[in-house]
Amino acid sequence: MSRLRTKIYRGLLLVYPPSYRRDYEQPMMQMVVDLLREDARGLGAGRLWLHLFADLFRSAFVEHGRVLSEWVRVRPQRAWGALLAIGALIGAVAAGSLAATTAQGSAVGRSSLWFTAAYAMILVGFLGVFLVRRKKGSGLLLAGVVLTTVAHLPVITYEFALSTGRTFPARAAEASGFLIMAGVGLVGMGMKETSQWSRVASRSTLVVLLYPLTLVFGYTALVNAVGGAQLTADFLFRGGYFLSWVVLGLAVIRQKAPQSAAERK
Amino acid sequence: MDLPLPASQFHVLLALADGEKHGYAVMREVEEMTDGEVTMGPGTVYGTIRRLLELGLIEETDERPDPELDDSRRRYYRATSSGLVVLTAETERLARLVKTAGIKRSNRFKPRIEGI
Repeated sequence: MSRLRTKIYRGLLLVYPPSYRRDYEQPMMQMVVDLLREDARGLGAGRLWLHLFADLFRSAFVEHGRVLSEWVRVRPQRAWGALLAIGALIGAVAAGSLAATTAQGSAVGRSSLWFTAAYAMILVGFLGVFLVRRKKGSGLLLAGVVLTTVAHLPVITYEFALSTGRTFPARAAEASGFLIMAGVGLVGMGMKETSQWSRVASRSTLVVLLYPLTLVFGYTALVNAVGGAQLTADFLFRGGYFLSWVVLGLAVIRQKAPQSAAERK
Repeated sequence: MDLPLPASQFHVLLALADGEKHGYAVMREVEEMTDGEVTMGPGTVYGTIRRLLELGLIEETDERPDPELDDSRRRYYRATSSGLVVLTAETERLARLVKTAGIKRSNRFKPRIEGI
């Protein structure tokens, strides 16, 4: 049981930047082994894990922030370009959300938010394809972007049918949610293959920005689930998006740790 | 080195002031020093240690208190001489602040509290 718990914690350490993991994974694991041993002597397991989770995510966020600020310092032009692009993406999502909320008087996360997010993702994807054309892995990236785009068509048609009082098979929209996930996964792999993450944005930029986005998406999915509204197609669709971001995050996290200056020599 | 030190850095530096310790011992020492009011997890401890190493206020040491009982995966750290200088300066700054707060409390806080 203890080995399982340490394995779980080792897996959770993936949320840290690779350079941090390379330096501190072993001593942190040793510290957790000590804490778990102490837990066996009477501390509450739930309380301990709560403490570990809170510490993990708070400190990982700080470490990504530090890597990001270092990147901005070393490569300011590239960093500001990437931040501008990602800021535009988030701005588009926020504008869509605001427009939807104002127009429909609805809660967070109505369809326009997801449309805007979808269009923004597709736009960024095509921008990525343009940047890496004729490079190794660009075919994978293009396939991902095309699949993501095509997979959105049933969803958009479904939402359009709902808003105009017509009918459209909900299952087609549900199935497309999984295709979107696959498409975004391909985009992630393509980006990794073409080594373009560093061109579009550093891993830390993405992780820092994905934190709040993932929270918003997760929260929206939870609200829909608890509220019981549009529980099937809508929830799966939003769940698909949520998982898409996770897939993207994992594609980034699974990159090799960058070499230190000494190793490069 | 600019003062004030962030609270986590001050706590870790203070824990390492009297000799080398590993991360878990630092965490326990901070808890004891603050009567359990400050609890640090592995991420906070090693994030702070990393920052203090970068600033040159602490250093990693190969010395082991008891190699027979110790685990080789542990890493030990101790305060450097510049770390001790910064710690002294920060402690004096805090002492002055507490003294000022004490004077202000006796002069102004008390009547206000009594007047409520």
